[in-house]
Amino acid sequence: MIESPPKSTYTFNRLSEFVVHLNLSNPAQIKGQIEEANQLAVNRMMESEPIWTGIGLAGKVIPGMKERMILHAGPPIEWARMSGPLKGAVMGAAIYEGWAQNSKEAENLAESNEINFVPCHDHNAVGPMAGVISPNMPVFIVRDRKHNSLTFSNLNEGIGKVLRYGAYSAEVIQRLVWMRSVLATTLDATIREILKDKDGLAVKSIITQALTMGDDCHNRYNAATSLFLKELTPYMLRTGIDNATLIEAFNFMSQNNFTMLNLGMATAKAISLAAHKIKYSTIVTALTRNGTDAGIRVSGLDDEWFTAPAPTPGGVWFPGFTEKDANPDLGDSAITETAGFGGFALAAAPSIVSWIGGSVAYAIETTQKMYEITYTKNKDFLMPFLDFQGTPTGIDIRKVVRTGITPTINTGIAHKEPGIGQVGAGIVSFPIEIFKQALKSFAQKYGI
Amino acid sequence: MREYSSYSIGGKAADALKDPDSRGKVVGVFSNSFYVRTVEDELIFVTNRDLKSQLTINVETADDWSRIVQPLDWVSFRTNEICVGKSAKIHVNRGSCWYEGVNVGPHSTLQGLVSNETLLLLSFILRIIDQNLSILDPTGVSYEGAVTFVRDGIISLVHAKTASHFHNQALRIVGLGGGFTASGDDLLSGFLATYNSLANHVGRPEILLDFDMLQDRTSWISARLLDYMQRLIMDEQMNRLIVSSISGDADSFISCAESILPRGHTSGIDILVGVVLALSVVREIISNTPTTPKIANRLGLLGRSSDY
Repeated sequence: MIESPPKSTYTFNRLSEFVVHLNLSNPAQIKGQIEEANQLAVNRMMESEPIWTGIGLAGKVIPGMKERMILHAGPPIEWARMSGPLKGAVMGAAIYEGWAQNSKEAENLAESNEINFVPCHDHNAVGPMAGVISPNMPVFIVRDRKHNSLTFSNLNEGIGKVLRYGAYSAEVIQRLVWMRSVLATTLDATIREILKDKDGLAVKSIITQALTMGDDCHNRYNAATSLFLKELTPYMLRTGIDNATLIEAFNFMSQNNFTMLNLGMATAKAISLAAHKIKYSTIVTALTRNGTDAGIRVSGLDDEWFTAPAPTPGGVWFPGFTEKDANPDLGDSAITETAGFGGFALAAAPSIVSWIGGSVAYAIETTQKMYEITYTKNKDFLMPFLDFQGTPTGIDIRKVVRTGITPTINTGIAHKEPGIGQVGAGIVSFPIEIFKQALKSFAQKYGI
Repeated sequence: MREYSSYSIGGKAADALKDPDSRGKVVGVFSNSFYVRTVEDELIFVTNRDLKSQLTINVETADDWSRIVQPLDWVSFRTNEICVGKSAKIHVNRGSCWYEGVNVGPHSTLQGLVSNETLLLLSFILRIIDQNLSILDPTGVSYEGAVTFVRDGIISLVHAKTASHFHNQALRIVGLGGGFTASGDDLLSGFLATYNSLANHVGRPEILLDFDMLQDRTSWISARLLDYMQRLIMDEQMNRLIVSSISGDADSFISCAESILPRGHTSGIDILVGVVLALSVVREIISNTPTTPKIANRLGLLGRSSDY
């Protein structure tokens, strides 16, 4: 016997009435708005035209940068929770600024809340690894010609025992002083020569070319650095600076394949910033880590940070080091993946596997996986090894949570103690928890 | 013959090992797992993934099972090992038994039952992600059947004196939709696992669909998985989700739900739709306010014309 439907307190026709008078967002409509917002976000990213326009001291050129303020990589963090390399970099910066004479004094200063710690991202700046920028450090100034924003990054110190890996010895400080007084001065004179001919040095085109020459433009900048120096050299020669200084500056840059990293990061920041604060957009506009926490920002969620403990990368270890020595992931350089290159363009850089481990097949597979969590293929960043397909661009938090696939970053690995430096290079995936939090927050903002 | 070691084994899988004459056949193979149908008509799941359940044997390997194991390979269970055809042997003497069931005990209370606002939030998330080919896809083959089931089966269940009408409506969506496990099966799995976990707490009997009737309408694997779920034999993710649904911790509930989303092609979404609707029904039984239509509408399952 088929039972008649039970009598209920409402009929089907009345069902809709229960929702008519409720002020609920219409998910179908919202989904359409999300798609439009995301399309706008990635279009703005791809239309971005970052150009290098100057060099200046951070305290003078970064808006809002104050005395006794230190910018750092990653989401917000207080001194007590900072990792070894970040603490080392902070101490080095305090000594460099003359706020402290030695590491002990620097430590006391930091502990006593005398220094204001702020994420680089909060000032549209980025820095690799510890990413520490203090008021008297020189920074690249990048202007987005299309969207009229300014972004900044510090200068690359080279490899080995350097501030960004937490080293703070006298040699490190001396190098920083030289960089300010010689390198930055030379670059400043050079960019002024460039500005006589054009409005700046187009950095995006360097990255575009480098991606076709075997760079991923996060952990491999060999081609990009060479292209940068090729652009720079004629203008350096026009500056009138004495040959010895020019040679010293040129050699410093040419002997470091990561010279272009910081300018590339400021460029990626400009690209990502173009997509930020678009209502309804679920596109990630910052991926970053401070050595303790990993964090993201999402376009439609303004400047809110979503964080989780930073994972520790795995990869290839320098002689004498193992995974036991590694610090959790660190640095603003994941801005490159945010902008659609770096680890997302691993397929463009097969040689990188000798640096980070894995195989060429793995590098290609990694890029292909990232297509599943991104909104579009970049129209400018093309990869010859994938038949000139555009790189995966525009990380969508919905897709990350839906698939369980998180962004893959390729990165340097710092020793967990301050003062030691880089111990390896490898791969890391962002924790899924961050994206789950962000999606929930998005639903709370737009869904109810 | 490749040899592997398991590090965890579920209770049902362990039972198969106790019988020296127990055998089975491989009935489904993926790159990271394969399914075995035992001669006792039970399902065992061997996987590289870490997700544990009473059906599961977890093996630590990066090997691609689809290159090692073939459908219809015979599987023999011995006390300390499982042999799959002539190609693989899995040692289980170092595995640890895992018997955990649903932790909604008879003394649990529903005071912390997830709120309507949280269910609306989760429903919103389900609507804004890619739901292509899922039960929520208005262009999908299972959508209209799901709408009818929600309207005539689930919403009616709240005030029904018996579940017989629900039974009839539920059987109509068994096997509905595509996928390794049909969308209709997944929706029912999520619904019944949740409803049956909480039913006694609201003075209702559990609802159990007859296995033979399930098997007539869908694949044996899908019918078995649905049957296990309705009998509260589920994996740890589902366990956590249901426990979190009465914990009073909305953040934990949403996080657990989001963990299930990547499951299969659409299984995660379909299961969660069932979970949300079941929780809504339970809440409505407790509160006696008609909230299930609101939730169904937020999910887009009151039909295209009323989509709001």
